[in-house]
Amino acid sequence: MELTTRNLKRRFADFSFDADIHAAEGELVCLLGPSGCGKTTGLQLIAGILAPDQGSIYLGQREITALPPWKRNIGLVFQDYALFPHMTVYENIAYGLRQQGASKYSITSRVEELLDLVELPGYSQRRPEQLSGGEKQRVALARAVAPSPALLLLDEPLSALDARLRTQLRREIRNIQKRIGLTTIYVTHDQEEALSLSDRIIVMQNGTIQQSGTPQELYNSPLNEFVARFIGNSNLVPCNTQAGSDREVYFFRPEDTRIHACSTESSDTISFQLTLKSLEYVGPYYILEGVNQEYSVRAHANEGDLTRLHISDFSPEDPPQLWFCIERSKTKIISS
Amino acid sequence: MHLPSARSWERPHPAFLTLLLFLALFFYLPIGSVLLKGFFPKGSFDPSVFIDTVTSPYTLRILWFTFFQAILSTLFSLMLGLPGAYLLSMYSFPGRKLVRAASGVPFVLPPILVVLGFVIFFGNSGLLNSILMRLFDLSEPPLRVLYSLKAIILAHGFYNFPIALRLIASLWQQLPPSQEWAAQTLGAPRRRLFFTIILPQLMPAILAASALIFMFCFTSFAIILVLGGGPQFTTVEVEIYRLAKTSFDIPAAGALSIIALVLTLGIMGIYVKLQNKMAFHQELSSGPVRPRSYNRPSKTGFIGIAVYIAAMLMIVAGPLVAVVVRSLQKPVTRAGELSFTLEWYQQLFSSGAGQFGRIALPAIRNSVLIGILAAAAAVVVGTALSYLTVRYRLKFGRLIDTLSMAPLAISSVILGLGYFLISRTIPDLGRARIFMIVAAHAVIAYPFVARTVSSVLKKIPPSQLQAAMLLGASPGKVFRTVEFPVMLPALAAAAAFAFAISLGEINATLVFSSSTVTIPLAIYRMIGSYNFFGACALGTILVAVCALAFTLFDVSGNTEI
Repeated sequence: MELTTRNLKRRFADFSFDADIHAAEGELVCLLGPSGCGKTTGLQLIAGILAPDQGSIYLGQREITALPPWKRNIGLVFQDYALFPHMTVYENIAYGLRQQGASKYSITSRVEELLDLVELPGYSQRRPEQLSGGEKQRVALARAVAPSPALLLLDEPLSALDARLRTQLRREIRNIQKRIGLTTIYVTHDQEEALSLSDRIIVMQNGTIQQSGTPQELYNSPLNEFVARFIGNSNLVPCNTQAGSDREVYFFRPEDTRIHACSTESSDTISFQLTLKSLEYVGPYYILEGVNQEYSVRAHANEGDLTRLHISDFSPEDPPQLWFCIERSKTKIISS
Repeated sequence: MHLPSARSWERPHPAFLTLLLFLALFFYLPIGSVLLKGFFPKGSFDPSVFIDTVTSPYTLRILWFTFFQAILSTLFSLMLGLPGAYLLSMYSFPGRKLVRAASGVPFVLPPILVVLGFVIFFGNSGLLNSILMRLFDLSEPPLRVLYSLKAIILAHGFYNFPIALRLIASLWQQLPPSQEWAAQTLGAPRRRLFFTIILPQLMPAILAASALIFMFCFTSFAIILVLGGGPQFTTVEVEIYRLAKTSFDIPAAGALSIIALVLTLGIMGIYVKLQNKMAFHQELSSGPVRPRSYNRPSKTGFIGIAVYIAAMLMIVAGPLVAVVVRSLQKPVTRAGELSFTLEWYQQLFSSGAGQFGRIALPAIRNSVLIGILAAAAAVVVGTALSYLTVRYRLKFGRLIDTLSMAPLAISSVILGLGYFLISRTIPDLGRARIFMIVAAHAVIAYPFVARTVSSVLKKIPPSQLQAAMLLGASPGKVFRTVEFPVMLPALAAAAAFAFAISLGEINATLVFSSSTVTIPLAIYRMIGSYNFFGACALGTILVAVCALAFTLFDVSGNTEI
């Protein structure tokens, strides 16, 4: 169901949350930001665990601001799984259904259905302590989805898992979410996770929204330096424009940056002469970092580039000067 | 996870064998001699006394009452402790620290002081009644609790609710709040959340607290002896004392001790079994415990907190304050008007005031001397034992652990009786009597020392010890430079606690050597001769000595005991 908040505010001693979150029906929206940015606070306000100081929350047409959590019909999945350790997998998943007063028969078939959905058939009599981290999170997902909530909230659900499992599970979560068509808010600090999962991303910082848009919009056209730095790797170089009140910077991506031995400055290319500081091999390509007193720029290069530039045996004692070049069409000027 | 001990290859030093000697001589020998008396009343095997005792309706009545009062006391303690555990686990509020600190007070209060405080505070002409009479203008005291079952239950509740509060709160605070939120978003309102998610997970702590409290109330002695006020409210322990010291029927006392021992060990066994059965893997959140409710307590919440703190202060501080206040008062008129005086203290220290004149100095001297020696012995024995069981992987490690913790499960009345039996075989005890008391107190106190020290020793990761050794420190040096400094605060707390236990000990001392003048025994005798003012003055001195010990050892309220 569609989620809308209006004028939502909550003040704490050292932090205040002031952001409105919207998710269209069936949409998966990521709340992305560093720890302490207010993304979890947003989730807890929506879930009813925290009460807002002002503002209102709507689920579909219904206002739920004053409802306690147990009357909101919202599913919640936690980073620490929060499975009930004194119950079996079956009892965990059945918990929400029992609160709804479902019949025993319908509970049994629903739990079986959900265990199939999260690919854990035959797990119903296990106890949480017998499950691996990934299995626990699947059970937690099944438990949250079981009572057919109007909205699903996920609070960094994959943070406690290792990298390989994370990518696998996030695909599964996305598949399940799409299959049920469940409106979902997904909180994460992992920009790669947000880019790969979301219909839309809301980037947050200090309790406020920095930018909201599709993954492509955020990656290609960040509105400000914070978003540019937070999503992907960015080069941010101060513009030489006349000193205005706002500092402005060129924004461009390392993968668009080319390296040359001499300047290629022209009407459609900008060049920066920099001292090569480091040369890093990361598998598919090399990352070159050039610096001067004010800023640094990174560029991707391949084996051929290194040979052409005679820097394969780069020595930090005698660093070469190189030109880092970028097409104007691939740069944006953003405020910092 | 079981980490290999840093020195698993090493054998313990032979000096540790003296520990076994200590246990055998000062614990197993006296206990054994009591049990033998039950079956060998006149030196030869004769089960008739035991059978007579077991089957007599009088014994059965005493047993029934012992169980009955212990169950009621346990329930009452849980009732007092649970709300406090709830408040400490759910809210951050002003006075939180006070509640925690106040709940530690009964752990170190000598039982005789509690008894005295109850008489002074809840008695017919006690502080509470006189306040109520003045407030509501009554001519009769409205509360009549003393010398009844009510007094016993109330005093046991006072003594034991902190156990319930602390054990339950420490588990509750570790339940991750996300579980509550999960249950709530799944549609469970507060009450159902409590019964389906929280209570089942608290059961191990509730059960452990109940078993412990039940044990303490089952073997409680001084409270029942004084507050019960007569044969109507006699429990097994009091009856053992009465048989041995009043009727001089040692074989019957031995027989009853056997029954008591079997029962307490049985309770312990049932408790361990139940706990193993109920123990499921807890997913407790690690890291520092934080107040779990981010929403401020509601208005009713604040009222609840205020009421609980007030009630707790009344129960914990009321009797103590009453003792101190009463020690400074003296009746002026027959109607009970009181005025300020230091007369009772003067009497305690000067001659010519009846049988209790000049009693203070020898009592303080004996108590402090016994306390210091007993604390020193308990610290040495307890530390050595915990070192032995934590650091070395011994073949009979579990057995040694069980054997050395046995004094926790065996009542000090029976221990005192054992010392009494042994002392009868030695013709001229003389000064050795004091040292036997020291040994008895050390036996009673060292399990607490061992538990405190063990919990600290277990927290030192083996990698630290290995690092120290690889950096060139010998095992002795590792102990001096790494382990000992870490253990020091715990040792100081344990020493102060052991001193407090010895200072307040009355059960074993009374049964073994009722003529020795210690502070608790003097107070007991003063209560017996209705010299309440003098008892209060001496009680105040006892509180002062206790407080002084804890201040000297700089014991913080957070030390685990």
